[in-house]
Amino acid sequence: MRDDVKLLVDSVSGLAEEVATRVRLDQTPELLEVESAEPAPGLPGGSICVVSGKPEAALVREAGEAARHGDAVAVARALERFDADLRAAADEDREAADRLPPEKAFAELPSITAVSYRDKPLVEGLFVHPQVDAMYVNVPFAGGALEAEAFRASTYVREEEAPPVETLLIVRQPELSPLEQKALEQLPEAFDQVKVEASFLPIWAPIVVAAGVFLIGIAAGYELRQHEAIFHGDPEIKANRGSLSELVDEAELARRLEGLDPEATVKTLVELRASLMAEGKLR
Amino acid sequence: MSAPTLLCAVVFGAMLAVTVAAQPRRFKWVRRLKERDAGAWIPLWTFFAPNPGVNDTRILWREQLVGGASGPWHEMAPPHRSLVRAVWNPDNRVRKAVTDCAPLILRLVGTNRDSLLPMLSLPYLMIVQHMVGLPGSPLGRARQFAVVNTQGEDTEDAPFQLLMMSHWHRLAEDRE
Repeated sequence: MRDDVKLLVDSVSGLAEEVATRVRLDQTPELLEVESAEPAPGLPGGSICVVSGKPEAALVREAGEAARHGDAVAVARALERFDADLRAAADEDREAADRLPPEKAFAELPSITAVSYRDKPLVEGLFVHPQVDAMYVNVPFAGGALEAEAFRASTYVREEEAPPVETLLIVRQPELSPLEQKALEQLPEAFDQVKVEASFLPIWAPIVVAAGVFLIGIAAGYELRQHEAIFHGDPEIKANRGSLSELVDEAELARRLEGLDPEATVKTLVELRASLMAEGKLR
Repeated sequence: MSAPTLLCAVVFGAMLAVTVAAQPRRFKWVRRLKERDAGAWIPLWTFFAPNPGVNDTRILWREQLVGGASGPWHEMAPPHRSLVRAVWNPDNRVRKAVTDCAPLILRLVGTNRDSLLPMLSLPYLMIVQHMVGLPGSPLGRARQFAVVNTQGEDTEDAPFQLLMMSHWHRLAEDRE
């Protein structure tokens, strides 16, 4: 095994072992929403920035203050400053530092923080170190309303008198395109059933074409018939446009589908399809 | 009118009438005639598509967070207007798959309204598989897609119509 891979494996397992030996202190992190009309590359739309560290740490203070004003650009600048300082400090220490084995390095950490939402892990391994007084992690976020009370920051410490740790969640909702904005406004919020609308948008070009065709007396009803056939079931047209020709045993399929959860994962659906194909029930 | 002139008028008139009747490709008697037309006396003109595409079929998806809140809609394969697309356009395959799969799913769902069978079809599985692989958040529980029709630019008053909305699909069995 390569050295870097071994280091990774040791680090991941070492962190879990270290956390298991510590006392857990829970708190509700502060949830802050930011926005900006300008680009903020360090905090793009559709992300949650989890900041954790000593309350007096520059990152926690600056990012927190900017986020309380709702300014995504100022938060991104604070993150950028932190990154630059961290790089500079790492370059200075690169030659001097003696590498510690992961288990010893973890043991030196005063606190290790994990953040969860409704008990679902969001971020783990945010630590405070004598040389790093705060950390941040950006995680992608597809958007939606978050409940501040449902978040939990669990800080793992060696003893209850460990230095206080402040955790901030800075949320920037995704930027929506005009189509996505329209969908948000017009599509029903709670709708989880399949539905097909029978009508399409007005198709002006074919109507004009059809009118022209009508004038010379040819196929006046062609467009209407075609439209009707597609959406109301002309078998001849459907056969050319994706009917369930792969269906072999309809009764057996209906029986198997009775037990299918409509919210099934794609894995379950693929496995069911594969099994039906193997049994010759579906082509 | 002389007999030859009359004969020509009848023959060529009939050819013209049959040619015109053949263009929509809907009349069985013309099809039968065309099958026997070894000399291609009845031409089929295909200058224009019978149904020119004026609508854009697009797929949107959204995520349900643990706790039940739904996120905003995102377009699965949003259009990118850039000159670079002339030489580098890898997203084109995804957009092509969307435009091919969406109508197939609509038809399958339309003809199997009370059945879950369309969920096992290849177009549906392709779309769901692609959807669950898109970047989201670690807080997501399930995802859902919708097929919509739009026309023209995405302006405020541009036509927009929902054609179909899928069930929610969990991202993983053990991620409740």
